[in-house]
Amino acid sequence: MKKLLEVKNLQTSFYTHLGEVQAVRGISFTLNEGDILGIVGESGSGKSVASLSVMGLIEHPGVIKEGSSINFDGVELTELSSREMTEIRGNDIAMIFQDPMTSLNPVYSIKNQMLEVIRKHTDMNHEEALERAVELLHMVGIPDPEKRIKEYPHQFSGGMRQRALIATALSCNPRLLIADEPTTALDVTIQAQILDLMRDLKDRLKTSIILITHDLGVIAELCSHVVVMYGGMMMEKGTVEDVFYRPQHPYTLGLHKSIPKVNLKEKERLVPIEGSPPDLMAPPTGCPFSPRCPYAMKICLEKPAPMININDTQSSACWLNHKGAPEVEGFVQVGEGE
Amino acid sequence: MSKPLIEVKNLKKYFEVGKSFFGKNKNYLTAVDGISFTIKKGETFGLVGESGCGKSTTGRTIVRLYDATDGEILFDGVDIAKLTPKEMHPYRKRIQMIFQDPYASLNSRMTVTDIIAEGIETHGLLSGDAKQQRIYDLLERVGLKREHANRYPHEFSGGQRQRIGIARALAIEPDLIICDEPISALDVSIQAQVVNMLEDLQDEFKLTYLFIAHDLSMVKHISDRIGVMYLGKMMEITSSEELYDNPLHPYTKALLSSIPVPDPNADKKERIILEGDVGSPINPKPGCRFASRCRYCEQRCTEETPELREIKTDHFIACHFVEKINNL
Repeated sequence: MKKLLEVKNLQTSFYTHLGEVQAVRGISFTLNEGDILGIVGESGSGKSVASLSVMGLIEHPGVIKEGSSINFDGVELTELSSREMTEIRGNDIAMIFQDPMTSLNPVYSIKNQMLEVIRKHTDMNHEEALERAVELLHMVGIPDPEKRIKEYPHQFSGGMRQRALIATALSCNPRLLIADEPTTALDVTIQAQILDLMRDLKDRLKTSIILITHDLGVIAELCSHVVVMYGGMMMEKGTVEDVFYRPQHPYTLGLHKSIPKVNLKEKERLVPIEGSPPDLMAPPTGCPFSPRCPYAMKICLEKPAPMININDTQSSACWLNHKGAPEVEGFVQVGEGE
Repeated sequence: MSKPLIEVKNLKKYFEVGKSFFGKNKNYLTAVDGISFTIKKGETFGLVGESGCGKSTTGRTIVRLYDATDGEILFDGVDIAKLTPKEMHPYRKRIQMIFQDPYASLNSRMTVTDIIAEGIETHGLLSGDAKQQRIYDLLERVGLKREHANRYPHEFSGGQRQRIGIARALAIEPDLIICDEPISALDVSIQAQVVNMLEDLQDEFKLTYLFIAHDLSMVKHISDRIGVMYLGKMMEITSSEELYDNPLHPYTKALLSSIPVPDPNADKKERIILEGDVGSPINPKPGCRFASRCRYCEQRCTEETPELREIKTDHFIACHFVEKINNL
């Protein structure tokens, strides 16, 4: 399979008056063409900043640090000028956001907003662009698109607004679609509709998707590969089967135990992760998860673990997976990491 | 366990909307439109539904943050829906509420001590050192420290604020706590902490919960019985196991099948994807509220509103054709 996006050692910081906030501290992942990659993490884990970095949407006081590399189909995005980046954004990479209420401008009609995008990125004239917009709305399942396209965002429901945004994002046939919590603001029955739509679009248009979410259920439904983030760092990555059935990082394990299982017959007590997420202004020197980790060792507090390859597809940033680590049930001791 | 603590009968809450200048053409938003349920002592009753179904309004009407348009709320046999504020006062001590947004529900100009003490003072329960000691005990009970007592809400994280909100609700030893989406604003790893604590507190203080949420898997986890609401109407009430194993109402079935299961190889049951969106609660049409999205809809559904009926023991459904759909 062909690599579409390769992110290496991405570091993004925000230089605020109070000091440097290290939102993303060195993450690396690849996305193959036609795949759906999930990035899962809690608030403040850096998952949204990572995706904004790929989009080139990090603004002052944020900086993508030296040594970061974002390679999109052979083009190094970190070296592009803002004009060149504008070419890529919208044409090759498009993004949809969490809140469909604020991503649309309330004073312009849906038609106006969709045509703006289409005409900016293609040389279609007004009629052609309108035809294309109607076709797109039809594709994402908006009934009666010829009429509805003239309406304003407030006349659309939440689910329809998200559909309209997806249609706009797809208007230039992007090869990569970044969806930042696309269903978090929606009700569960509408969420099912949108997830269904995204799966269908991936199959029909062969668009690669990065899906950012905090909901492990959504990941399991849609993604083939997962990156688990915590405190700006990558904790674990692998295929969904790896991460859901054979998690090798205590944080991933903790997440699984803290969500209730619907299909369980008996009532089981939840096992929460004690403590609270780290302060990114002064992150722990060692592994960001070490203060909350039930397995934390001395080295965990001193030095973050490197990504250790568990097998061909899975790797985990935990010292327990290191060759020299003591044996703990459920964790394999394999390598030394990079 | 068996005696009902609260009995809600045919509760209605309408809001006036879009009234013209001369008061003509009044429109009503029927947030809650004639729902009935009971909560037994020591039980957790879950109320689920999508946004706008009236679940929060129900909770708020029970604590009398809203005045009911019609219907009865029998609390220990007394209809609290019609009490005057003065008569209501002793009951306020027995019903407390935990809110969804831990950022908006704590006054940012009050210290934690002031926030927790307010209820104790209003009801004249304790004073002086005894009051302060009670506050320390409560803080420790919800997993905070004594030192936190003199801090302000902005110094705490979301999870810690929710703990303060819980301590405030516990301060006056209520019988019933209405938990209005207490965990939906929290991170996954923190949610489990709060849910476990609510369960422990229930055992310790013999509390009764009305647990309102849209996260169905969490509601199933915490509740003994669950009511499913849709556009102001109760669609189905039964025990949480029965609801998940054997849902009978077409809406409940669709709702349950839309929950994303955190298991990539889970046997994907036939997913029922509902067409369209939730309708408008303003001047709703007669008939079943779910009719426009229901795949079993027949003419009778658009003409006659189905009543909640007991189909099996302790399993109530509001659907005309439930027997036909489920081959009962």
